[in-house]
Amino acid sequence: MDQYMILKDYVSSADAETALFYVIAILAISLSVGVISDRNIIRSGFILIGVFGAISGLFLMLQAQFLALAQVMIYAVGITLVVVIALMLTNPRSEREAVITEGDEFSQETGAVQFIQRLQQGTPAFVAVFSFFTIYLAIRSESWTPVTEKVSTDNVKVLGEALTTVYSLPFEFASVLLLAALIGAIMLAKAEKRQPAIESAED
Amino acid sequence: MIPNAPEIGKLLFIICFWICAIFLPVWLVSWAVGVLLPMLLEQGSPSMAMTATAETLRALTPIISVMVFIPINAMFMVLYERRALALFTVRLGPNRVGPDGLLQTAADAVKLLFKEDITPRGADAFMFTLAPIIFFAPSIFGALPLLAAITNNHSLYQITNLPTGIFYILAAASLPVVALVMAGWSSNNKYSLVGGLRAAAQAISYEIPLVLSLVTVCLMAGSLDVVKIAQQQDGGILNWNIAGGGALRGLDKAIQTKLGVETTPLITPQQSSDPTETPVAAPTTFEEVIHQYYPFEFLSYISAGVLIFCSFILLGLYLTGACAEINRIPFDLPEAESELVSGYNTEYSGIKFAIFFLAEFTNLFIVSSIATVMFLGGGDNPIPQWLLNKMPLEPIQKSLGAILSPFINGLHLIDPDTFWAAFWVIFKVYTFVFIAILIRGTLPRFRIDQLMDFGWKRLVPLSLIAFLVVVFARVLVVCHG
Amino acid sequence: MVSDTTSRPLKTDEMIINMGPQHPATHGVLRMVLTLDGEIVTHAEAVIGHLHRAQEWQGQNRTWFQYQALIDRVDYLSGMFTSWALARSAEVLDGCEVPERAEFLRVIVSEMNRITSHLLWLGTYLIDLGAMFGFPFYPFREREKLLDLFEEIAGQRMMFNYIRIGGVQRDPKPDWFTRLRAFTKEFPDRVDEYEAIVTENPIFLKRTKGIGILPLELAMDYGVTGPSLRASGNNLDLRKTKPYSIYPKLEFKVHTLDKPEGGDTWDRYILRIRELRESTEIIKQCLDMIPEGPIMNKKQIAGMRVKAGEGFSAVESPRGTLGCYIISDGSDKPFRFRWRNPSFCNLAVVGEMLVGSPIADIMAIFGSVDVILPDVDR
Repeated sequence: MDQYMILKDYVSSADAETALFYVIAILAISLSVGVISDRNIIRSGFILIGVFGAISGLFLMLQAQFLALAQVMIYAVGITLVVVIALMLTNPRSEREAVITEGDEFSQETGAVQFIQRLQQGTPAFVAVFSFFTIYLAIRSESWTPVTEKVSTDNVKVLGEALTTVYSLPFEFASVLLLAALIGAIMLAKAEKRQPAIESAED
Repeated sequence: MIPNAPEIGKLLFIICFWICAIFLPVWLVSWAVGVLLPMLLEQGSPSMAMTATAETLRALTPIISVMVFIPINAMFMVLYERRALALFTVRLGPNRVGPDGLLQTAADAVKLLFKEDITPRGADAFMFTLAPIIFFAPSIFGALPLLAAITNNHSLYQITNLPTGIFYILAAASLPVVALVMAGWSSNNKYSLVGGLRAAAQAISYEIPLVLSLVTVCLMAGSLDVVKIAQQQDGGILNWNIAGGGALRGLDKAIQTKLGVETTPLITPQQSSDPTETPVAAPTTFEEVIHQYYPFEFLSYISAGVLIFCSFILLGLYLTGACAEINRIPFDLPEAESELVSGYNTEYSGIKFAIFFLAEFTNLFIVSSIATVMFLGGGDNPIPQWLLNKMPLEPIQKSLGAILSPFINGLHLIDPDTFWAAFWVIFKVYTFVFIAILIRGTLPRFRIDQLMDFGWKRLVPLSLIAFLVVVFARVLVVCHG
Repeated sequence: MVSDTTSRPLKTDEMIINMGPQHPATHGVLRMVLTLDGEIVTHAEAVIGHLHRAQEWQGQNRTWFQYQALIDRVDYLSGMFTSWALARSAEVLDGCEVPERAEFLRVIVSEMNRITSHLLWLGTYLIDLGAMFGFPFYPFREREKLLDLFEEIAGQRMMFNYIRIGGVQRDPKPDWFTRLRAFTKEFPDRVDEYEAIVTENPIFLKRTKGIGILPLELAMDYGVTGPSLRASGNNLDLRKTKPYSIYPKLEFKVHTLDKPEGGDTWDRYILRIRELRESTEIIKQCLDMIPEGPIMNKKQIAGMRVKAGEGFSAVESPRGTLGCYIISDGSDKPFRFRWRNPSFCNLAVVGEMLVGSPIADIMAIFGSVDVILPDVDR
């Protein structure tokens, strides 16, 4: 496709690529901040789809077309399901109108209980900060060498071969795990369905 | 004989008129942007900026032509659907605006544009506005890889040819469900909410048979690239994927050999798989060719039959799944009028509603064109080459060529190959659309639990079985891929 | 262990939905207050009165002559029957004889009206089931032919004012009878056409079989009449059980479906289809037997009076038993009216039938009972 020489040169130049990376990265980070800061669980679910969309953009920049599309396909639908479950388990209206009261939540309790409750409340923040630093240090301590060889354009084929040869065992394990989850879900759903029949029999 | 023959005639006239009205602008715009303007810019010795602009214009051609195409096409499809349904239901249909109602949908579109845009109280305004956009956007960029496939990889549309073509289209097709849930939730209406939830459940269940049937076709073709899949099926109806994914290709070649038609040289699969082997002499008789393509005699014939049967089942699975994906009767539960008023788009009005409407009809078109590319050979002529050669077409072609040569050579306005490909694609796609309308005119709606039963207990196992059968039957016949 | 975790039901909120009065599928203006658990109805209540037009009160403030013209509007799909009920009860009171030719004409037009009413039901019912554009218009094609015939004799397509106290309004031309005979000849084939599309349609069967079962006990408790009752196994049909007019002279069958658990929506559908055929047969017989003679026995003038007293009579309308009770004080205005409308009782039972069915079946069940809202509210 030599008719797009100049465009191609420009798009694949290091400057453009870096700029694009920063745009997508900033988008992903700000959206993920949005996910945890939004009080409305449904809306944070929808923002989460945006986060995964941005990450699939990163995959695209790494020439991993198939992975990026799989990311979109699976996470778009998967998170819609999460949103649906959130819709079913919460009452959006009451959530929207709920007044957030802070402050003298703990005043009635004794000191020790108060301390434990505060500790419980702080745990997620602690875990988040801890894991961020762990990952940050792990990434920094590794010495990364840029790959110079060209990535195959037909990476579907490469992926398929890898999954069926080198990584066939982990792949199968993952499949079995999913199957187990599926069967478990069916069992739970089935047991719940039988329940009204028992009740009516008792009546 | 036929009591409503005049009505059928009018419908045919409307179809012809509107197809011209759709494709003429698309063709002219893509020619102007992709050929004429760059040609003017690059005259003489162009500067760097000039060339860059020309290249940008060329690169933008696919998206501009899609943007021109979508609104006009949706207008036509609405009219087409209404008139065809009127035919099926002994009515006349819209026939007042313009001659025979030709401009009815144009008037409707204008009306919708000028309607007040209402956001209900208590709605999440941002999400409410975002939902139609997210619903519509995938149908634009989902259509792009198909452009290359249906124009036989024309140089203007080559840029949209992706190695993961069909997977890309499927990924784009999975996005609208997000918008439906979003629209349902943000409308602050109980009917909308139920509609959105139904849309999510339905789309997720029916995506499985849909994707599995397309994956099976990809397996037959040995590629995810839509252009490659379309090109494999060249050469008449016997090569199409609907005929067993190339299971009849041997028959086609054998007839060619018998009739002595000079076509593309036969590439034997043994040769291509192992270059070190000494090349086998090209078979020259009917029996030899048959033996080459059906190596196990009787077993091969049976498995060819099984493959053909399977591909019909796959087409059925695909159409069923697609009907559910784009919420058409009998699977239009998310917007079931008699239950949920209008489902997820109950609260929408004006331009937002128009966008939902537009996207729905565009999705119908895209789904039909995927079926065309994957099963019916894309822009391929259904008549086999050996039959075509016997027809006295040469004088017509010559005289046409003489008339059109200034347009072809000087201005690059017409590319005969692309023209015929486009013609056949349009014919096939609108036939699929016609089938969808016929189904809408005949069947009542499912209930949501029956829909789920049908999806999970019938379609998913059937698609898995078809997948397995195809995997084994393909070993015995030499097919595509 | 499994039962331990799942026996404790998940706390879910019930959703209360107002279906109507502006819902596209509630056949006019019915409001249904539904309590939903997910998509399952746990409680349903029909709120009526949105179409109340004080028909009884209006009758008491108009002359007999005026009210005759108004009463078709109570049940606008089968106006002949309301006219007939009024005329019969007034005739019982007045003691005036109806000429035989008029009685034959009354039966003919009523059975025609039964056909148009059932045809319209068929079309709208399929719309309720989501066959949005397809089939509904085929019944309308035949209905249109009958409405043309109605227009010719009554001057109106739906509000006929044809059956009057003492007879009928106009004697049709011989041509009218030939056209009606031609219609009766072709109509059974058309019914076959409908059945070919609908009766064995797998999706239709799935949507209607075993849905909205109405046990006979429940139906009798609520006073359900008409096809809905007959589909549940009772053969109450006033044309046979309490014969009036010339029905004893005619040969016809009252179709009932004898199912121990009660009729479902599909049974009500098939019963109406059979009634379509039966009505055609009745019309055919009437066309053969109709004598010559006068058609009116009472002078139709503005100051028409009916003798003092009380009178009640009922006819079998497409929806069930339609009764009319009147008190007359001998003046030109009736003293008291009371209508017994089939739709009112049939609607009352819908609330019970809906419990436990998903939202999608609400319209399938509600539509199958064939309720006309002005008939409920009067």
